[in-house]
Amino acid sequence: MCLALPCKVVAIDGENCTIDVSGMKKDISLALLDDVAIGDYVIVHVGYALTKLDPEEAEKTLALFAEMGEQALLEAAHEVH
Amino acid sequence: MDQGGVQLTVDWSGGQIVAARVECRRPKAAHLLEGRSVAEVEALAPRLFSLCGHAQGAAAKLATAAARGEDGAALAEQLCRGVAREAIGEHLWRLLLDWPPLSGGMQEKETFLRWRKHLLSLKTPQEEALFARELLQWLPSLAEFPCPERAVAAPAQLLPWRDADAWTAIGVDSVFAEAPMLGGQPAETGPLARQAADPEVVALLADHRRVAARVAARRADLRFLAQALLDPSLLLGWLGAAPVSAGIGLARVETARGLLLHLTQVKDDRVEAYVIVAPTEWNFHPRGAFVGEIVGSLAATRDAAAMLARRLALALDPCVSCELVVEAVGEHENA
Repeated sequence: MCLALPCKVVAIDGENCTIDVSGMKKDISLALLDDVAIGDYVIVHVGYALTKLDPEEAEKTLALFAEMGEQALLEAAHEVH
Repeated sequence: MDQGGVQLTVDWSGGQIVAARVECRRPKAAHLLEGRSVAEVEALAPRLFSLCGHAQGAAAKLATAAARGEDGAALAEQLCRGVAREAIGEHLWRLLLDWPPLSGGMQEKETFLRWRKHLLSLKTPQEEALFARELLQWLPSLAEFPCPERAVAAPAQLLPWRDADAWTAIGVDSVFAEAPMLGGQPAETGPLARQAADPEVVALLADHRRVAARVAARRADLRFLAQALLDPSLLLGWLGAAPVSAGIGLARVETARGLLLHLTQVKDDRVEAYVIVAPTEWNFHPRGAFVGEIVGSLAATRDAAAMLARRLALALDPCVSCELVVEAVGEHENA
């Protein structure tokens, strides 16, 4: 089961963007999504932003992953690569 | 393995893959659902998982309904279309984005994006029916992939179709979830198990071309799912739930990757225990389909061994990223 870690978009460059994943910066593709802006949260899988999240929902989900501990955050972050 | 996921290691002796190991090490996300109210669990389950959120959400609702002694038939009917749409999207991802680069081709990104955006825009059964007809018309034009590999070892059993009631007798718990087996043996779940009676799949299996059979099964699954959007009664067996005992319910949901089981124990509207058995744990069992099939494969070079392992892993479709290590053994140790 691929965990859905919300990632914050911190920069956009055309069809690509930079996200913040647990403090690490990653470049991913925005090809699957429209209307993404800096500050939005997205769910990412193998280099693609899959879905855009409501910010409140994203914060709740991040808090949930934090409850599961560092291992869960690392696993979810790994899927982003 | 500190980052979790699935690690595949194959030992290559110079001409052949002689051994393989699989290690699945992932956090127990199901435990996050314990101690919460039923409403919280039903809201959280689809949010925790990025690829199969619909299926996870449906399984959570069905399992808790069964734990409370409710009949889940109407609920399953209500949830089945979302599960089918999600599975269609996953199959298209594999066939248009993941398979071409491992078959000497290029990703069909534009085609995938067109289908995905159409899929996500569907709001009504009429729109779904239109989408399904277009998909059925387009599927024969989908590029074929060369899959010449022939399995040399006896295959893992294909997971038979069992309804939720039958799964209640298996003893699903957190230990079972880590390395599930049926009848004491590993089993393969997913499109091949579901579409094993498809004539093209039957012919490929008879020819020991199991990777090709899995690709053909995925296409057959896609055809079935498109037809099911036109006639959702076909999908009713895909989702189901049954009580295990007082306060404990089990749900089964078919996903693109295979069987998903949820088991939950509910007391006073609070979830006391939660177990999720995901398809990846069946197919990447330490003695499962990957290990059983890759060992004995002929590979003239280390790169060829890596490609065979990557293609078999993709055919078995893990839901997390796979790390592959090819270890040269014997006189090729320093190759």
